[in-house]
Amino acid sequence: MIINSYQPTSEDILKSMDNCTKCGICNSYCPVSNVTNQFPGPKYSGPQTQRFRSLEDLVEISPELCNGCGVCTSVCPNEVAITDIITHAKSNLNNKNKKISFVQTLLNRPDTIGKLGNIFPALSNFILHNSFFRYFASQFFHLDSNAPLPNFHGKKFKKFLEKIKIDSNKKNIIYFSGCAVDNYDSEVGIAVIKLMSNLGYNVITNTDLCCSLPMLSSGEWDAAINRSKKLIKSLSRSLDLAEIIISTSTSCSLTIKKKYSAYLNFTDPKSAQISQSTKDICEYILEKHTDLLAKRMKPIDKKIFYHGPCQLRSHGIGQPAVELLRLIPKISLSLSEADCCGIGGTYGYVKGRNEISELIGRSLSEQIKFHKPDVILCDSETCRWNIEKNSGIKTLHPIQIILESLNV
Amino acid sequence: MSKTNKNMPKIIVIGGGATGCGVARDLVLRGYQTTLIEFGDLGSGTTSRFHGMLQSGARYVVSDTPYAAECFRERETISKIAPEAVELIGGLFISLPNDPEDYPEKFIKCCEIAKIPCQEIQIDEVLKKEKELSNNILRAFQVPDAVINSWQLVNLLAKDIKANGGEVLTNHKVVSIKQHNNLVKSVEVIEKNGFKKILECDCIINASGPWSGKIAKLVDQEVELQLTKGSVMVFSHRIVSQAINRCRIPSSNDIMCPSGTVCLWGTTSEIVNDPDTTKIRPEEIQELLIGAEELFPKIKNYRSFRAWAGVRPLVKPKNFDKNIPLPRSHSVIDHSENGLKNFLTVCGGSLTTHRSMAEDVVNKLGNKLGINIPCSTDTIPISNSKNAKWTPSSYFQKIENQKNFNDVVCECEAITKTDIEEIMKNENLFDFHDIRRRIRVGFGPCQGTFCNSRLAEIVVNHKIDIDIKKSILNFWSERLKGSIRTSYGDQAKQILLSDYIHQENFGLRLTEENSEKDDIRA
Amino acid sequence: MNTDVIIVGAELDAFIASIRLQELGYTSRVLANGQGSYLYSSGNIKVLDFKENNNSDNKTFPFFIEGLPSAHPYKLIGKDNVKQAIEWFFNHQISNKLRYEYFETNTFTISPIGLKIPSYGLYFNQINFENIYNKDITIIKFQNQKDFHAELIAQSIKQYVNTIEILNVVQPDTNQHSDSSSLAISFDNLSSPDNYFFNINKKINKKTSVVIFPAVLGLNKYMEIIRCAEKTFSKKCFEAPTLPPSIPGIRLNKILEREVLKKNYIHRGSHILKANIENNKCLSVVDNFKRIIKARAFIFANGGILMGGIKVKSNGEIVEEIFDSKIQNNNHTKCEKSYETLNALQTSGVLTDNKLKPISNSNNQLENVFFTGRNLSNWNPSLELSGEGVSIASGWYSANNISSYLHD
Repeated sequence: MIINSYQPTSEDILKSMDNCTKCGICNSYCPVSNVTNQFPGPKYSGPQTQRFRSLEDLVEISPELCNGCGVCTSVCPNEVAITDIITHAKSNLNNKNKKISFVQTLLNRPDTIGKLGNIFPALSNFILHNSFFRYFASQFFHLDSNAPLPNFHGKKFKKFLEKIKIDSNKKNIIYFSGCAVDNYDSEVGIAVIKLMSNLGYNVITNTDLCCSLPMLSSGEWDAAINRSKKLIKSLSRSLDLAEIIISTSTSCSLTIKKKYSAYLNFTDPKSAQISQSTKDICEYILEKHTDLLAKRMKPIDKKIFYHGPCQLRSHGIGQPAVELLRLIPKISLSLSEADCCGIGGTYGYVKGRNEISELIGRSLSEQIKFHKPDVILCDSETCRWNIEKNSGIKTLHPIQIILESLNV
Repeated sequence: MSKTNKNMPKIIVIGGGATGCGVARDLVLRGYQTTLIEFGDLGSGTTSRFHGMLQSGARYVVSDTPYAAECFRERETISKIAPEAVELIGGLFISLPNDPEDYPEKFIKCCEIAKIPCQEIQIDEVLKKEKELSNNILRAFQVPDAVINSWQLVNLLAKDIKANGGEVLTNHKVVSIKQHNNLVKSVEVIEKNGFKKILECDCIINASGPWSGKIAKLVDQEVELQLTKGSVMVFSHRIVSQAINRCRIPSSNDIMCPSGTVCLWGTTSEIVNDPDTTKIRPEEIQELLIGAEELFPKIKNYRSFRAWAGVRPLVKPKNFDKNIPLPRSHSVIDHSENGLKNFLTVCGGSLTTHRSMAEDVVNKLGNKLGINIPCSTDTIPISNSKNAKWTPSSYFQKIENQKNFNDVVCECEAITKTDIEEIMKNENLFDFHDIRRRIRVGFGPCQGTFCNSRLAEIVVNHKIDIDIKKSILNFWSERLKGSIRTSYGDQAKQILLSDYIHQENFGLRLTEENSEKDDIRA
Repeated sequence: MNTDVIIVGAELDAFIASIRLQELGYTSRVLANGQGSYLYSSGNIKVLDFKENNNSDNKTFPFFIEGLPSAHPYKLIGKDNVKQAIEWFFNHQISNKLRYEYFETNTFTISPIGLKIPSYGLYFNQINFENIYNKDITIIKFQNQKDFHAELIAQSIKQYVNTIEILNVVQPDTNQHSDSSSLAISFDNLSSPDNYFFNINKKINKKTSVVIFPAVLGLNKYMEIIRCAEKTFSKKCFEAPTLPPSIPGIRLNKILEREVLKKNYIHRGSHILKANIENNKCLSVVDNFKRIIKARAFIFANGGILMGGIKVKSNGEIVEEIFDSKIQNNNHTKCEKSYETLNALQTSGVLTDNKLKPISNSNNQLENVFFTGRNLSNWNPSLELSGEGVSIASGWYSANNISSYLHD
């Protein structure tokens, strides 16, 4: 049907409400409606109400409670783009009735916050993790005091990049680092460079770009357009030098693959080329280098627990990180059965929504307590921060363990 | 305050469609003691089976200009007296390359004569607004078409009739009419539960639409009708924002009319003998799709979740020529010309002109009885609320405000348990279909797949004695009758899901005997 | 990413085939559009309504197959294979996790509106008519629960029981919805189910000997919870089904998925658009991200018309789009009555040989492609009550056939 096409547009998304047979499977799997009765569920907020939104202005609050995990769309047997329909509603509500909240405006700009905070990272970290500040922020800015805030890493990643030498014998590959790696998770970025160099690539890193997913998820689409265009311009230039763009955030890569056409109607050839050339790092390595890895990986003496982020499902690629980890000899690997850790990107940072995130994350917490792993792996940054905070166990990106296993 | 007066004659109106309800309302407002008798539920005949338009009259402006002028006047009146049932969406008349070239000029001239506002619009403006229209349209004319919710209309009329002292008897079948000395004396009716009654009267007005002939036969009278069946397909979203008509002599496959959240495309046209013929032949769906494709090239990709048919009762004039299209204006037949002094029939016309039809026949009645009370149905509003408007999303808005998401029974139309319990309190309901027609349960795209058993649970909870298996099967079977006609694409999935739930999961069995019973007419 | 077999679809047959292939030593990858149709089932395994649906004198399993028409899937698969497949299922640890019990001459369970459904297998403490004859029954209903039809069930079964009453109780967590999945998750999250049941026990009539719950007693912890209820009440406790989607179906789904994910992979949100064929062999399938996924054999278990494996066009034409397979089209558009139209739609499907391999419209027989479940023609799951039986048999059988094919 229409949704099967590679680049569905806004119109395709909204028309997909017709495919709904009301089967209710989406409601059975929605992590939010299964824990709170404030959110009516994806079937109701999505295709059901959409039939009426197109007629007249409804004053709605409930679509805001959708955390954008995309689980509903991945279980729908009728190809209804449920999450996207609800996000369209959020955007319309922003335009017509409500102004976006101050805290959401802040959260929608992680690249700006990152840059500012990294001017004096030590000071920024002190303030951010100070309980008085957290209380103050919770009361006045509605930033939940329980929200998992990361640490500013200063210019650690950029300094590492400066030391890299280009080897003309190697093949080029583009790495879209994203705001998390640029500002908070430099270790992941460093691991990517080391791993890909080891596999025979020159890594061309595009830093200081934001995929604008927080803006898209919360409905602030006008602001998202500029940021997205900047990203496309930058990556487009890089595509003169290489064929593939890899990303270490399953959320960012999903945005580039699918959301620019679905929400912003970017259907020009440049955007289409970038969508098709972007891959999750594990997806790419699995396609090209399994034989090499299988030969060279050494055992890891750690009990590993892997949680596939909810947005990974929307890629339709299964769990490539698991396939790679299973190449490690004698690996002790257990898999999460939870659909969502609860944080939902910036969703769980807002006061009042963090409780919902906690309730959603209960199942995952229980599984972690049961398996007692040494390290937890997850392909998406806010999920990692959330899981590490709740479990107290070090949470890394899968490629960090893969790198370790190669003894590089 | 009841307007009826014990000193006024007792009038029985046979037929509870728009016409019958309009007649009964006119009667009570003039003070007559009035009883309305309807075989099924109000509006379950032709009234609910049309294409949804409260037309401007432009459709008939060339073929029957006086009728078109009447339509326009009535459209203005009804939109003022019943705003909750009307949406003023406007309409376009579109010329395609294979349409007769001289028709548009005739169209413009006749609109002027009939005083119907008509303005030509630039094609690129039209295509910008109506993205689904084919690119090769030639000309477009804007007219003030509107959309009417016929269920809402008859319900409002019935409420007003009762508020003014009239009686409304639904689910009553007319068994016989007693006459004596060229006068009708009484009507014998039988209720659905088998209970018989005799109602005395001073006059009868026969407003039973396509059944007018059958009713007239009960008193050995003739009403010559040309019955034509027309089928309509429902598309599950608003493909267009206003009514789209073909700019040509009225024929089949002419109208796409949005109505609430759906879009109705119609109609076909086929002469039938039996007013109860509402079965759609498979070829009719193909005909409708091919006709729609001319205006909307992508129509076959869209989901149609139901099709229905209604029978138009047009009166055969005395000099009937098969080759000339029948006049659309209504007829009032005074049967005293054939020996029965107090029996009148009103038929023909359309939903748009139901009020003026009622006015005419009640005026005629007044003349015969020497009672000269003027008609006031054109000025007194049917609805009570001042800011009334048609708000299909009102149910959703209510739930969003109250946050009682749990309460929702019919998900497609956002009907809650509380809404249903309200209806059950206030009215005498025989079966699920009565509830359905009042409050749209089962009207949406899933056609009762999920709300069916939930409704049964509520009804049983209220200690209403029903045969569960039969009721659930009946409701499903009736919804299936219409929804299975368009079982292609996503609708095929819906039909099979509905089958899974009712037969494979619930354990019901749909057979020859229990499918498509005739006594469920709507 | 080397896989032996690609299985397209998320039906019961898809998972059965994957698990069977794993036993025979082959890897598989399940590419699922969304979830499958057995989420609508009440959890009971239906093989055939022996009494109504066969023409032979023998009304037992597996001899009922003799009375079926020759083109019926059971006949294509063969009596011995059907017997082996069904026995394999009930002896496998997957059905043991839910303690499925089977009855060779069918037993009767209760449907969501209280009617008798002949079933071959019931899960642990699924209500059986044998349990209620002449007993004193209490049916538990949660307040505001609208998907459990306690009144309808009570009305329908009252002729078989001694006394029956309905007890309205408060749900475990009043901040949640009262739909089936929210209730099930709240039971999973109950810190002390004994307390909860203890409070209910106070309100149950002492005379009652059988308590019937709606089928929502937990998603993952069902066995514990129902045993806890029985222990607390000292009465037999059973589950009766709710309106679909149903929790027992989801429980079975989770168990099957868990089994597949031990060694194999499931891609959610994966839409297959076409196949690459050469010399009567399917080499790979292509999804909506233009990814080419290779394998040595393929099973299409994507649910027929109901779940989108087969499409119906507006002119009544029925098509299978990936291989353009020959279709048995029973002309549903020409039928007069609804029940005929339904039967025509249900019995239309892909024509296959007795190995379940399709023939294309251009008369090519592909050697490594198999169709299963609702894709097949000449059977009607609603009238025959044979949905799960045909799924299990065709899934298991096609896995065996692939094993022979790959072995050669």
